[in-house]
Amino acid sequence: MKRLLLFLGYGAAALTIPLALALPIKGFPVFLSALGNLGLKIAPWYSGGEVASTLDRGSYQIKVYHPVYPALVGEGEKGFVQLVWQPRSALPPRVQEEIDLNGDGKPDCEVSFSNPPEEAGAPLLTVNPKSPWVSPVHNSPTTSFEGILVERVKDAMYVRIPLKKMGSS
Amino acid sequence: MDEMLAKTKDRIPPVPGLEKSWGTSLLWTLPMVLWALMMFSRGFFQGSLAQKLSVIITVGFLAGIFFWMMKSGETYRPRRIFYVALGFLFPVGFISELIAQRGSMSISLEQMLLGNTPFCHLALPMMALPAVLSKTIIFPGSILPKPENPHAFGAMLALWAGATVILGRGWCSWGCFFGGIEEGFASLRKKPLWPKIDRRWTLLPWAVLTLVVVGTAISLAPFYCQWLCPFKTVTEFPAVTSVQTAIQFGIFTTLFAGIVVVLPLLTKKRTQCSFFCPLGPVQALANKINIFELKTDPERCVSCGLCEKACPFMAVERGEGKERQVNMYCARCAACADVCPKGAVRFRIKGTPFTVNAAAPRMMFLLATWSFATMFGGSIIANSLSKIVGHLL
Repeated sequence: MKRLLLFLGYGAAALTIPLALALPIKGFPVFLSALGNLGLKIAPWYSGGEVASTLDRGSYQIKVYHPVYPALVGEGEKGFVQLVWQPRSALPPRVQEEIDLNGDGKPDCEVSFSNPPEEAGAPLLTVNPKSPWVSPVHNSPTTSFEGILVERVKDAMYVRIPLKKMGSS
Repeated sequence: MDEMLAKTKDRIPPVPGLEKSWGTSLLWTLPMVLWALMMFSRGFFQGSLAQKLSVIITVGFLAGIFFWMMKSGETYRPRRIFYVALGFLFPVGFISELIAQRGSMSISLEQMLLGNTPFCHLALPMMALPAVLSKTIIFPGSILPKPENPHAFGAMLALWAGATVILGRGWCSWGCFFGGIEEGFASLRKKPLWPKIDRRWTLLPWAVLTLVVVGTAISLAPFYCQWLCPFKTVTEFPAVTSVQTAIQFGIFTTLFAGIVVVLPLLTKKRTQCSFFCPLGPVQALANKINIFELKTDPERCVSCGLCEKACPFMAVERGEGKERQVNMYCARCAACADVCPKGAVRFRIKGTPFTVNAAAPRMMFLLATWSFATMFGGSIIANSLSKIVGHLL
């Protein structure tokens, strides 16, 4: 038994050497591929979630994301939906559009934001709800990551419209 | 520690085989040099003059350290030089890259929205619960590496997982670049001004771990990164644009000054690692599955207590008798083994008796550990050196 333990112990210790050598050569690709198969995702309240539809406006496009209601499990009471206008360079100084957020063919809100040059300060967002689950915003800038409303990101304008859960007060 | 080492330096080596001849030491160092050359060959053959020079310096530095460990039989002091260099050079390379990419150390909302926030291993414990419950990582980064963000969650997880299997909590002494900064400050004084610390402080990281796991689950944001990480001071932080971000920045800098600079200077202990870091307890648990350990041979121990004083992690304590025992917080830095005048504290392979080949477990640990350290720490050192050399040329 002692001999077996000795053999197993030294065998396991010896294995750590090829493991350390294999780590950068084979280990990382295998590990990352396995991790990719697990289906892990960056939390949608950081990434914005997944794109639900793309609206073509000729000189620019609007990506409409799925609504996100942040919660550790299930869905929270408050959320947002991310919209991305791009390219920003093709946008007029003030954008005003009616947007269908849930794909039912009816506009859920009217979104309006300023598109000033970088040196002229932060853009401001106004949201006029047309559906009860959209929260209003009045001419407000982004204050923090949690309070992102409208933000320049490379050659795009990211907008996050606050939502409340249907049925919540 | 240095004084204690000096006192025991002229001892007759009680553990046969630790100290090696010049020839044998060179023979053991050669494969490590080849491994380093293999790791950095791309930087050498395809890089600029600064990268070529930094590769030469790094390979020479790593070879010198490993040769020293082989020739002298010492582990702690050569490792400390490597580790402190890693700790102080990491921010140089990292901050240089941030400034080249963004023009600032602060991370913008734009970078967060694009998922370009570099992920660090200290955030790993907070990520486990959301990953299990909802398959999400609560961090404004990316899962897999991409050109704009090579420091993705997956890359850091792979590195950490590999290192943890090989080293256990040895990650905290051979891999984690942050620990090198406080080890540098802990090494500055010869004697501690504050030698006696209550052992119960080692329970604090468990409380911090609980706080950050619960805080992350409630706030749905990486709580430690947002509020508690001292190393934001030397890496990156959210731009100070509000009262909240100003308070956060104040906390980061205060914690850095307190537990990474001042307390290590006063106590000669790794205070952030021992009393605060939420990854510490996770690594301590990883020690349970790691095959290597440092252990006291009760038949050799004369209860002098030098190992207990020398341990920077307070991981050596009095056993049931007077002899000292190494506990689960051991970070494999080997300060205890090097300082022991009787060779009672030694690297050992779990489940094997002390009587079998005393030098082999240390040798196996060093070969595995140094292979990892060359790949990970060595590449960080080479990268940071290339920035410095590039600036000088």
